[in-house]
Amino acid sequence: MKVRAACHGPAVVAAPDSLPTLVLAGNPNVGKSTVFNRLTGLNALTTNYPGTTVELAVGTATIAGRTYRIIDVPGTYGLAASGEDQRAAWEALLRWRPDGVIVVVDATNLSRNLYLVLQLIDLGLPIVVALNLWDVASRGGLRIDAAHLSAALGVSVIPTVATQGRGVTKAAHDAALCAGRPVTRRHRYGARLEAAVAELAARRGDHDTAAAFQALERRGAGPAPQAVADVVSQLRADAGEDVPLYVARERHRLAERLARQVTAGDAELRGRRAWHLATRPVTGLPLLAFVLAVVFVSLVWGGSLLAAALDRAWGTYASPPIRALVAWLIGEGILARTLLWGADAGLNAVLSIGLPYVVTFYLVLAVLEDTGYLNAAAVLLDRTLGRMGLNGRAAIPLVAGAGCNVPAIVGLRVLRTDRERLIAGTLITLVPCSARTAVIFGAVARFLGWPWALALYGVTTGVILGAGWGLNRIIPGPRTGLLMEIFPFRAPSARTVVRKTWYRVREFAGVAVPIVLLGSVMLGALYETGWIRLAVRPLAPVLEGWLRLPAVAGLTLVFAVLRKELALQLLVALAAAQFGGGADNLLSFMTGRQIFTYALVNTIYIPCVATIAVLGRALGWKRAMLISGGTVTLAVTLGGLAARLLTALP
Amino acid sequence: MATAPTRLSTLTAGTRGVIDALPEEEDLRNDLAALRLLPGEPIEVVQVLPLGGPLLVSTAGGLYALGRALADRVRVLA
Repeated sequence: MKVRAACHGPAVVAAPDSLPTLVLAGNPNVGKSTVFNRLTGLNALTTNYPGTTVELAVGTATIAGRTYRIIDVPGTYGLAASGEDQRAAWEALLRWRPDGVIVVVDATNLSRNLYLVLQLIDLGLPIVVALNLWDVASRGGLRIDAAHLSAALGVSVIPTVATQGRGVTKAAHDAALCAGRPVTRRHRYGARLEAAVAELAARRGDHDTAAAFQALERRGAGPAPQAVADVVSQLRADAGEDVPLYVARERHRLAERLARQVTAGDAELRGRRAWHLATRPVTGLPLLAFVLAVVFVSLVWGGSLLAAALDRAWGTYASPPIRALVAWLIGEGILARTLLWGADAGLNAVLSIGLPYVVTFYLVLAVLEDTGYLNAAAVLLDRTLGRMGLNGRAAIPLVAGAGCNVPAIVGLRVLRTDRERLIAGTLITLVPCSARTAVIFGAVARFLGWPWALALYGVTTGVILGAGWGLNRIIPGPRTGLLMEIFPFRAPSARTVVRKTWYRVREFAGVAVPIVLLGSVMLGALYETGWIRLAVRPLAPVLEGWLRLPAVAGLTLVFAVLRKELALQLLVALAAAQFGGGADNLLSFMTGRQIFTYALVNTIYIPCVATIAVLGRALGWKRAMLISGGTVTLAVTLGGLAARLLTALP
Repeated sequence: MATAPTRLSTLTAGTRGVIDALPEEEDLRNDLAALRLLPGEPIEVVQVLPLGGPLLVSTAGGLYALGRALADRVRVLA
């Protein structure tokens, strides 16, 4: 058994396998997750957007013949910061006491990034610095003397280009080497601060300056002992301001001086012009409309082309052998037919209904994320979100919700207050995720034309705005202001986009396939045995009477609580079973109005079991149930109204 | 600088000033401090989004977006 590093204090919370641990730390958007992916080959997502790595991504990497656990913590500017994601970074660094920390810094903004580096050294963590975006800095004419910086800090400094993998292995290697070595602080602040730190360390009796810094920045739990409080109040009086602010000022000052000493060239690299265009409403709003139009058109064209091609391929190559195999194995009785609901129709549905739209959407989303455009959209939407009791930051989880509600709700941690999390969490469940998008495009756009799909999105947007406005009035509490760094736009990297889309689609398929198979077989069994009539009877008044849908179609809506795209997949399978052939029969089974109502109800009622589960964990079960019940009521009410309105139309 | 401190939110694009005071909440102050939004630091308003939208400000630490409500509570000497 390895004895943990002797250079730091509290006991290590050892993981079960006791692997040595390296942590990746750094400001948001400096390429930390890209370094992580390079090291581990695992599926943490990298995003040109703050806050997307709120759950700690964990992987393993073999460095110099030894296996290490690698933890990617949320991007943070300093460990003093508040918010749950920042606290997660704090815990990963100071409670778990990793064997080594790789601090990824942005070479194009060295001074501000060095703040975190200095703080980590002050707090006694064994670090190495990965000087990332080295290529961008070089292209912009910046030259940084890594050896000089390394000597000044007393830690290893390695230039890296994470997107190309350059320097990453070296950084990890050096981090592994620093494990267990005592941390010495070479940099010195002003005399007043240094004297206070020395005094605190002396009073502790162990001369532990790391503990002294922790005490000064008020990170210790509970009230400070008198000896500490005396020093802190004296420093406060001498400095004339709050001690944490004073320490921050000293640290920024030193960071700037260090950055100046090791840097040559002009640091003005940031593309601000594009930002003006993207955030000024006159140009920004048309740009936003254009971006949304591109997403929509990609789904209409790309999604439906892919869907048709996959459906054809399945019908030609996969379906006949599967049917033959089942017939050969168990004949053509009820059991065989039930099985085919899953093995043939179910799998076909995953391929030709779910996947095409999910892939298309995630591809477009990955491009948007990688360029950093979403960040500009957040600034542009700050005021609108303000009307809903949120701020621009909430745009992060809300947009993520259009991919999948589950990670979006996990991402609520970036929001500061419970009130914001409750409002944003409720709104996320109303954002059509890619599975619901598949139903909207696969049913409404396909059979009624794209204007109807657009109308459905219009209704949904109205519902979200209305719900946000209402919740802001009902739920008491203040709102917090937007505070966000502005990142320059970047050209998207094909590698990152493809990789990210692949991981997300793989995740989708891994979860969706078993559930779709199960749901299909269950509905198939009901259908083939004739019990389906019994099953729909209790629901008939709502489904037939109020929503004016065929009751069996309504039953698929109930099944869709497992997965939203399952609704359409089962509907198509039902149509095929009843009328033979493929999905083209949907119109022979339902009218256009019914398809619209159907998709509307499916879009608005409770997201799916996975969302309810994560909602329960994030906001509490009572609220999760309240939100679920509320959305069902809303969906049924709106569905019935839509059915009547549409009938009134010529 | 003899003028009295004003709210950051009242400044127009292109105005330069020096931060005078931050809001009181400790969490928020810590966040601002880590970004180098500290009393005594120079600050320039780069852009003001209309109709109560956020301000884009430039400091030695970088370029940041501040919501109007937050900018209301940051005092500057312009």
